[in-house]
Amino acid sequence: MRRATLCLVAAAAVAAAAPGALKAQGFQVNEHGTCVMGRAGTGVASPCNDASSIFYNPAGMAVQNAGWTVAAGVTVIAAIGNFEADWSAEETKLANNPIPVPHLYGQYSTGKWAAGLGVFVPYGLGTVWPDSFEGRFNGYDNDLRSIYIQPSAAYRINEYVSVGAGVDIVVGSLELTQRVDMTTIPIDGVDPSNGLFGQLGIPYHTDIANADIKGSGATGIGGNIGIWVRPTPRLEIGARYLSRVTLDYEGTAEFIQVQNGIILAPQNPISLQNPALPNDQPLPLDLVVAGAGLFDPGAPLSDQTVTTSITMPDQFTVGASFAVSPTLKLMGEWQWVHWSLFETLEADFEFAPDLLLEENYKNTNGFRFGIDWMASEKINVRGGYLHHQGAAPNETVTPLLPEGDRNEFTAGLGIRFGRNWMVDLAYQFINQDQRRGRVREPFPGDSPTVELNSGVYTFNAHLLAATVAVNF
Amino acid sequence: MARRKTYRLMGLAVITGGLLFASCTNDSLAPPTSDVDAMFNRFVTIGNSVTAGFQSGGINDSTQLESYAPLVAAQMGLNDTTEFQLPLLNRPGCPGPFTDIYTQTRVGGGSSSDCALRELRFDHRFNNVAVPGAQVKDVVTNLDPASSPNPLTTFILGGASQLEAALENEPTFVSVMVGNNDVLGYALSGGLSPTAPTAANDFDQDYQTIVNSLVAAGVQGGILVGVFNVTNIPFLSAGQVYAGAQAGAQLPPPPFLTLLNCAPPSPGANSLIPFSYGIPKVDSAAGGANVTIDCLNDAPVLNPTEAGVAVQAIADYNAIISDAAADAGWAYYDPNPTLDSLRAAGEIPLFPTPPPTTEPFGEWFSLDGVHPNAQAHTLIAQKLIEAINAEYGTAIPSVN
Repeated sequence: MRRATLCLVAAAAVAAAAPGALKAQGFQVNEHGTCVMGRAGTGVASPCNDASSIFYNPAGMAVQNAGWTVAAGVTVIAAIGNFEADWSAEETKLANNPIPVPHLYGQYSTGKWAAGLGVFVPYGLGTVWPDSFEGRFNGYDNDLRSIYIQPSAAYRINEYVSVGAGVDIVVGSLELTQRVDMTTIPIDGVDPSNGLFGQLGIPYHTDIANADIKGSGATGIGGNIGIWVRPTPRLEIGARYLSRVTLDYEGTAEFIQVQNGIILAPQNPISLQNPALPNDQPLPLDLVVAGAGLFDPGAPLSDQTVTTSITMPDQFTVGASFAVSPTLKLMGEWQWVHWSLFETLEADFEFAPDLLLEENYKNTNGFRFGIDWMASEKINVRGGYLHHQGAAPNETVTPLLPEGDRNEFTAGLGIRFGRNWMVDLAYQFINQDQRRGRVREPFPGDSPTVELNSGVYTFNAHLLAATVAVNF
Repeated sequence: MARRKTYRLMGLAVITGGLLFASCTNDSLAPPTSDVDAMFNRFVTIGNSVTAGFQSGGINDSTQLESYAPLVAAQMGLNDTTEFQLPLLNRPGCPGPFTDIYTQTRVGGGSSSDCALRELRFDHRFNNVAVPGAQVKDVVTNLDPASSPNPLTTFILGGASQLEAALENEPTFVSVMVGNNDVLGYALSGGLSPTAPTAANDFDQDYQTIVNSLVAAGVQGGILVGVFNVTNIPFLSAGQVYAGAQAGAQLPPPPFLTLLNCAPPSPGANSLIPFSYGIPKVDSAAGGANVTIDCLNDAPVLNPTEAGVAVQAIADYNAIISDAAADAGWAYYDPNPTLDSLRAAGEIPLFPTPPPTTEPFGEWFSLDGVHPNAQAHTLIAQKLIEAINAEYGTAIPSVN
């Protein structure tokens, strides 16, 4: 009963904190344990004794200390970023607040068999920009969570080999808040000339509405399998595969008119074509919009249902750990993520025109190098470096996810208290390459191109993590 | 001891390997950049129909690109699709330009009230913010009762004024060509509508607002263009020219076409007859009707007194513009010496060439007889470049 309660608390805590996870390739998240984080995410070959191998390599569960292991911790992510516009070099800063992301694991191992449960978020994102940012039409407050609840088991075949697997029960939700650009709205009912507001001269990126698109309750099933091999006393090798999971979201889209304050001059084309409007007086555009029925039930900007589907890609990791001495390990890993699955993002609206965004992501490779040095019986010192490729091609770097190649540096400390307790601390600095990107979408029917890029995204993050683990 | 050294070396190797991976490939900004001088990086043109590219009674994405504004920008080394953008209008136009003024045929076959709407563009900033028909007041605001907006005001500017749209570009260099419409309507209507040009005091106030606002916004330099002497455009022909043409048997004789007060020494000889008034009369006479043009008393004719009012207004405006340029330390270009020399050289016809012709108003004016054609825009661009280079010591290359 206590264990069941603990699992629910863990799931709830991770679910509550997941949106802050803007810190990996695509919308991938790699930090799921402080010990592994301190050594640059190298956890596939040499598991930490904090049950985090449930995520990093389920086979490692049977390699850890026998008995119960329960770990609880938190990673605080402070993201710093901005977009600098080509035209004026004006900077708009990312408005993400530091986010605490807790992690919790629990497992029991006999030394031969092991079973446990982990709750983690390998895919999620959160981007918050000021609602005055020009990229607000792509999305200025975005949140995607994919919570993996993974019951797992492992079996140590012999001294040299262990295998493990888990079933991932995935629960997803997303929220996208963006502004609607008036220029792409048809002027039916306003002007019989049958065009778009933009064709009458309304400036590109003029607000007409705020759209809050929410989807929740998407579920999927996946798997996480791994193998651990120790061919020599000093060398450990691990490999692990996390399967893809497709989540189908059903949600709502709520539209609220946004006043843009534009007043058209007399003799404007709207007044001239509409006998109900005086053409010798200035014309507030907000009044035109309010009277056009665009927000009436069944109209394009009325509240409505929306459905979409996103695939969390599969990922494969292989790595090795070499014990240079009884107190020093060097670790290296390669990770491949199947991001090319993220080709398009489609949203099917009940009344508004359907959305089709071409993303065309590329598969990514990540390279990680870590050191774990047992400085004394009570102290472990860790460090590492990792490099991850960006998944987004040059033409789809947007406010929704302005990602790119990253170099990341980590440092960590493990402190033992008594025989059973361990406290891990870690710091990680993420330095993403400055990358040209866009703040606009192509017009419907057009494909994105690099010609749409109009500035440079800069992104860095500081991560601080702490975990308390107990073995008993 | 040796083992410890080995450990250190291995650790060092890992760190070194990591640093090798840590190579950054940072992208950089791509701001608008003039190949000539950084002062021209963000060039914005304020103006009227000439600046906007209105020709032959219409405007579309073809005539807009023939305007002196993008021509000067191109010589400054600014890319015409990303660094100097125009609010392009779909073809056939808004309205489509004339292909024949005598038959009133337009590109696409439409009428003067047809508009093919604006092209959708990704940028809310446009470098050429000029609007056909704009008077000096319209540059400051389109919402004042004294403003004179038209549909193109919205098609080009949305809800902004030219000044607001210009400042949104954070310009480093500007050109301003306004004032022609403050007197043109008066001249072309024979002093009927409006009954007077914009008062010089009002003109001065609005013009100072324009220049002072640009200076306060940090504009590094600019060129102000004087008002054309609109009494010299081929749309207006002197009464004595009509009389001379009739004497030379080029116009129907009386009683079909009776010219009153149009021959010297009558004061009406120097009156200016608009094309839109005189040619229909000639056509009617050629068709056998009896018509009369009274060069002193017909309301649509700009009589010498009215012409004098127009010329004085232009002189007042140009004094204001010249002073404003001097005060701001900017370049000033007066187009009238060039216009006068072309006229003196006979390159601007005193009387429109009858059909069939592709150049009823000569080689410098478009088919409406008011607006310069593409060749004239090239000449204007060259003159502006010379004036800018002379004022700032820059080396903007000549227009080919």
